[in-house]
Amino acid sequence: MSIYLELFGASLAALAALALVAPPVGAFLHARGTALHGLALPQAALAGIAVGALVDALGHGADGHHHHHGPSLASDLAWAGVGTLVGLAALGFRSRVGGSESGRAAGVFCLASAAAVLLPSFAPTGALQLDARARGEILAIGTTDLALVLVASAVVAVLLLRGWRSVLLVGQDPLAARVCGLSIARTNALLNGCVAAITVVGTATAGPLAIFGLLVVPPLGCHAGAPSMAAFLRRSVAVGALGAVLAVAMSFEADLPLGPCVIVGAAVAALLARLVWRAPERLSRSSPTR
Amino acid sequence: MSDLVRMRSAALGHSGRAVLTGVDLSFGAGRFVVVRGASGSGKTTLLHAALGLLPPIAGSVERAARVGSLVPQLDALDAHHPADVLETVLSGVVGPGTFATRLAAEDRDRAEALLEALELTDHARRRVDRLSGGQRQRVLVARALVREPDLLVMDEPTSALDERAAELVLALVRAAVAGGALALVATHRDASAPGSQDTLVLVEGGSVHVVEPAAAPGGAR
Repeated sequence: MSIYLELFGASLAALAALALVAPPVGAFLHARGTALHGLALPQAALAGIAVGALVDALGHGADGHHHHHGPSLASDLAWAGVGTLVGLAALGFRSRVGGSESGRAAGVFCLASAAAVLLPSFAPTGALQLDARARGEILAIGTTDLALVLVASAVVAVLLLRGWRSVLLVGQDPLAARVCGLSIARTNALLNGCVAAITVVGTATAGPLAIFGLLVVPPLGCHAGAPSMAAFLRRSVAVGALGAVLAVAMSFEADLPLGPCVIVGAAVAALLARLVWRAPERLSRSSPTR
Repeated sequence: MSDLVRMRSAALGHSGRAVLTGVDLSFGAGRFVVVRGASGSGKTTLLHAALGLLPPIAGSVERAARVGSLVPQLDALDAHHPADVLETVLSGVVGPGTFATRLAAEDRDRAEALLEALELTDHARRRVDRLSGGQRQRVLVARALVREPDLLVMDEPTSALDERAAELVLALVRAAVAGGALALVATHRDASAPGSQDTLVLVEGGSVHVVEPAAAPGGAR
């Protein structure tokens, strides 16, 4: 375990940070009925990384080099950012594409999935690395990369802690929010910025499956039983953190890729949380007042 | 401008299509204004213009209100957010212009006092999406009043309320008016019929008629 920690300590710290901040961001997506963004955007980020691998391979091919080690994490972060921004732009193209929010998110997921599989076919040097990223193989990241993840996570955490009531009001009643003097566009941009930050650093370090698991599963498991928005956010954090711990244990013990383990871990944690938090509620439930 | 809301030859509507034309009115502090009209006549358009949510297509709309507040129609509240009653009421203190909200102790005290006045104290920690329509409507009233507005705009605030709950709401609104607020209340309920000191605004046929208190019909309360 010590060698494992030595090799992957920074990666695990990054995962821990993501496990604490991604679930409350996902909670807002869930509450707004846009949980599919939690699937579409990480997949778009992965497609961006695939584009980067293709560009990198074409560049090296043109130079006549045959042995390079694939794109760096910094490059992956940049390309994941491009993919995420393209995904966000596509999700916002209501006036041109039309259709429902979930329809556009499904479309982004479809196209990004195709790109993430097809593009590496033209860039064999990057294909293995991209495949490992897609599966969520745990990757060794440096301290600089870890610092980036921690800073991004800290910024998102501070924004959520200080601004969650504003995000709540804009989501619950945009008209009343405007009357209160809030800018709907700016508040939504801040939330989208949080989603994008988590998506980019998360996809580039832990892979899209881990981010699916952290953005989507904990809120899904906590929404029905949460007695309040604050409790919903807190419980999502707790489930995400427990899910990450279970995922690392599962991945280490059974030598499994981390990405799907995060989804399974979060699902198990969500089920446990549901049992623990719903039991007292059921015991003390009185008939609804009408 | 001593008036809190003033409209001059205003054409009001959406996407360049006027719903109301030739709107001339002005209201100052401490007025209770009942806005009456059939469904779809343009009451909500008038209220939104008064709050600055809709720019006039023609003419002018001026507002001197420092703090505006809206009680929207009941279906405006999204039901997917698992917010409880107290959280929803306290969300009314956000802004203006600030993303981050730091609640003061007085905000919480005021919210709790409003919940008590609206007989919602026992529901303060219940999720809003699990309340009845009438309870949710009272929550929206509390959320609007917690801002201590000087312009209070209410769109059918008693549509889902029984008589007693409607009286509780109107008592709070009249208290706010007595404290200097201007209240614009769109309604077609008898419980909100204008009193002898109230102004009546009739919205019909794409125009607006203001009936000042001395001539206003309806029973005094």
